[in-house]
Amino acid sequence: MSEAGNWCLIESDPGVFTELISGMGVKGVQVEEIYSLDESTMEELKPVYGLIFLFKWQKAEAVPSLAHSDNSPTDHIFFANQVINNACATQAILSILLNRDDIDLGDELRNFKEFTFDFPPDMKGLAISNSDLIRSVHNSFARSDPFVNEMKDPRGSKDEDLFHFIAYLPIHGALYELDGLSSGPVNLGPCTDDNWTNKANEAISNRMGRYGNSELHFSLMALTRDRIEVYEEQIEEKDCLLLSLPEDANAERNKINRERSYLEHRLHLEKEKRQMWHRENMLRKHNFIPLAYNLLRILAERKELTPLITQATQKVLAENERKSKK
Amino acid sequence: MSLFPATQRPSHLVQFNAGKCIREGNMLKPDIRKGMIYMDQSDDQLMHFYWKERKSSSPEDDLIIFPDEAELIRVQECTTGRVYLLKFKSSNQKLFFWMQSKDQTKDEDVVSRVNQLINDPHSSMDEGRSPLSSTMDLNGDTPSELMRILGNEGQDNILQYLQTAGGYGGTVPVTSNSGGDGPVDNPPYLFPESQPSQAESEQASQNTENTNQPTAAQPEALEQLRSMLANVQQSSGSQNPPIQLNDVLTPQAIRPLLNDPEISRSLFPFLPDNAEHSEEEVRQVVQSPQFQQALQSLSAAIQSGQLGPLLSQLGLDPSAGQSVEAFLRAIEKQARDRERDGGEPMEE
Repeated sequence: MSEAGNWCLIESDPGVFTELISGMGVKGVQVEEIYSLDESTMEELKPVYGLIFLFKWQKAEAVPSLAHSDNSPTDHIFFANQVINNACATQAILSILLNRDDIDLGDELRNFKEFTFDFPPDMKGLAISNSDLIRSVHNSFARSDPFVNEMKDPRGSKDEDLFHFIAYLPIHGALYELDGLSSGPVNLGPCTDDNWTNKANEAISNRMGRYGNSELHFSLMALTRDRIEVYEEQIEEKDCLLLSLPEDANAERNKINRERSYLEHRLHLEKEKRQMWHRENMLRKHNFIPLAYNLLRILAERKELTPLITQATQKVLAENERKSKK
Repeated sequence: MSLFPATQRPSHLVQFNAGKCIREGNMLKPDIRKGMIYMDQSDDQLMHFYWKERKSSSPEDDLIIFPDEAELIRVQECTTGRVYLLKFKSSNQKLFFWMQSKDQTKDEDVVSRVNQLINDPHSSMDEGRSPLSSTMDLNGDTPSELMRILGNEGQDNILQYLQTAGGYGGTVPVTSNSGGDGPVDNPPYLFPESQPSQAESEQASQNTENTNQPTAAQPEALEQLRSMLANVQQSSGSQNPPIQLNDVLTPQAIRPLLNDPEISRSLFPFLPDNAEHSEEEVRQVVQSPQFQQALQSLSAAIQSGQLGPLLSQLGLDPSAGQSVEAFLRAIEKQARDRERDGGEPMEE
C-alpha cells in the first residue's frame, strides 16, 4: 500500500505527545509517563482517559497477538488498522481520543470521527494516514534520527527498533485493548470507571509475561486531563471550603490550608514541567543548521577546525578498529 | 482536510519478483523469502523504491531515490545467478537483489525501467513517451524541486524537509507485518543459481506458489562474489571513516568559543525564537540532546549528498556536500578565502 505522504519517526516522549494532542485541536488533555499502575499512582492522575503500553523489540520476532475471538458488536468503537509504522504512537493516541465522550476534540478531529464513523478498520487506518492535519502535526515533531545508511541487517542492530503501541481504555462499561496490528478491538471484560486501570494492569502484565526472554524495553503512558486545570480546580474548591468555614474552626481550617499548599506545590511543579516540555519541543523543531554552520565557521576563522577534523577522524578510526576486533 | 489521495493508482510504475541478499561480513547470502521490488511516486513527487514480501501488504523497505542518485546494475561477477546491485553514487550504500521470476529475458527491460524511473520521475506520468526522451532534463528536477522548497520556504523548513524526505535515500526502518512467518532459522548459506518461480511475467499476481529452492552455487561464482565484496569493503575502509559533526563540535571544542562573550553574542540570532538571549542560554542549547540529534541528522544528510542547494545558500561549493569531511574542508576554504580577500574574517 503506497503512502500518501511520509510519516517521520517521532520521539516517544510525554512532552511530544502532549503537544501533538493539542496541536490536533484537542483541549484539556495531557500525557504522562507512568512507572506503575498501582492504585495510588492512578488516584493521583485521575481522571485517566486511557493507557498506552509501548515497547521496543530488539529482535524482529513476531509476537503472537491475542486471538481476536471477540464476537460482541464493536460498531461503536473507533478501531483503525495500523497502516504506517512511524505513525503508531499517533494512532494509539487517536484510538483513545476518538473513543471517549468526555473530551473536547476540537472541530477537525470531531469531523474526522464523524466522517470515518462507518468505515471498516482498514479504511479508518487509511484515513488517518491520509489526513493532512494529523500527519503534519505528527511530522512537526520529527526526530532528528540518523537513518541507518547500511544495508538492513536482519539480525537487528540497535537502530532497527520495532515499535509497538497498544491502547487500553474503558468503553461503555468494558475494558478494551486496541492494537492496530490486530484485526479488531479485544474486549477484556466488564469494568467501571474506577477499577478499569486495575484490569488494564493485569492485561499488561500478562502481555509482558508472554514475551519471555526477548529483549523488551517498554514504557507506559497515560492520557489524562490537563493536570494544571485539575489542580487549579481543586485549589478553587479548597478556597470555597475555606470561605464556608465558621470563624472558630481552626483545626479544620489548618487542615484545608495544608491540603491547599500541597496542591499549590503540585501545580507549581506541573507548570515547571510543562515549561520544560515546551522548551524541549522548541528545540526539537528548531532549525540548527545556521547555528552549526556558524560555530564551524568561527572555528575555521580561528584556525581550530583542521586539528578537530584530524582528531575526529582518528577517534572514529580507533573506534572502528576496536569494534572489528570484537 | 483531504482524507483521500486525489487519484488512486491501480498498479505500480514497475514491479517484478526479486529477493533480497543479506550481507554477512564478506559474504552475500540470499534472503530466501519470496519478494517483490516495485516503485511508485508519492504525491510530493518523490520516487519510492520498495521491497516487500509478496504475501505482505506493506513494504519492508522503502527508499526514496532522487534522480542520478542510484543505479540498478547487474553483478557481472556472479555468472550463475541473476544478481543486481542497487548502487548509490553519493554514499557507500549497496543493496543486492536476486531475480525471482522464471523468465530472465525480461530482466534487462525491467532494470532499465527502474533506472529510467529513478533518473526521470516524469517518465512515470506518460507511458506513451519514449523512454529516452531527450527533451527531459534528467537532472534538472530534483535540484530545482529542492531549491523551490528551500528557497521558497526558507531555511526554517530545511531541517523539516530533510526529516520528511524519508531517509535521504537511506533505508527507512519499517516493521514487517506481525503474525507472519519470520525469517527462516537457518537460511541456506548458498547463492541462488536458478529461480524456479511460477510467475509468468513480472506483473503476475502473487498467489500461492511452490517454494523457490535455491540450489548450490558453483564455487567459482561464490568466490567471485566474495572478492568483489572484499573490494567493496576495502575501498570503503581505505577512505577516511565517516565522521559526524558531533565528533567535531565537541564540548571541548565549543567551550572556549562560548566563553568569549563577543562570540557568544554573535550566536544569539541562531537561537530558537523564544529563547533567552544570554550566554548561559547558548551554552544550554548547545549542550541539549536536541542539538546533538540535529547534528547527527545533518551529518547523515550531508553524507547522502542531497544538500547541494543548501551548501550554495551557505556560500559553499555545492559539490562539497559528499561527506562531512568535505563539508568541513569547504568551510575552512571559505574562511581562508574571506580572510585573504577581506583582510579580516567577516563578523557574521
